[in-house]
Amino acid sequence: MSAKNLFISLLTLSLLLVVGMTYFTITLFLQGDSLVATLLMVTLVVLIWRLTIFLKKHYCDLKLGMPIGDERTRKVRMYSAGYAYFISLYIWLTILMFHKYLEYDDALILGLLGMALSHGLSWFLINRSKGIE
Amino acid sequence: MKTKIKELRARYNLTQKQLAKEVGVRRETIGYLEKGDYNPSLKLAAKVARVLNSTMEEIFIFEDSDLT
Repeated sequence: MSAKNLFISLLTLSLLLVVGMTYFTITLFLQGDSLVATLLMVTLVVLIWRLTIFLKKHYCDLKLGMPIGDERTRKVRMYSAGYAYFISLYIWLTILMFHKYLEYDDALILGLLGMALSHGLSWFLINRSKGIE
Repeated sequence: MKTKIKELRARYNLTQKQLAKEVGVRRETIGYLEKGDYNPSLKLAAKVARVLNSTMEEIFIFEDSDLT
C-alpha cells in the first residue's frame, strides 16, 4: 500500500471512529445514561486531540515524501498489540467478575474502552522505551 | 550500543531528515539510532552504512555488556 493510500485509509478510519463515537454518545445522552455518555465524551475529546496531532504529523511527512511507517513503527505496533491483547484478557475477566452490577451495554462499552486504552498505553510506553529489537 | 551516525552525518553534511529519506525510514528512527536507543535490522544497518560510505562495524559499536 502506498503512503498516500495508507494516509487516506487512516483518515477515513479516524473519521468513522469519531462519527460513530459521537453518534453513540448522543444516543446514550438521549436515553438518559449520562454517566457512560460523559465517560465517552471525555474519551472522544482526547481521541480527537490525539488523532489531530497524529494525522497532521503524517500529512506533513507525506508532503515531504517521508514514509508513514518503518521497521521501528512496525515493531512498536506489534509489541503494543501483543501487550494490549494480554491486558485486555484481564480487563474482560474483571468485567465478567462484576457483571451482576453492570448493564450489558455498560459492560460492553467498558470492555471496548479498556481494550482501546490498554492499546494506547502500551503503544505510548513501548514507543518511548529504549533498545527495541 | 553506541553509534557514529551523528559524526558521519555531520561529515557528509546530511540532516536527519535527509538521511531518513535516503534509507527510507522516519526521522524519529534516525534520532533513536543516533542515541543508540534502537537496534536496527541488518538491512537498515547496511543501508545506513552504505549512505554514510562506511561499514556497519564502524558505525554501530557494541560493547561486551551490550551482547550479554
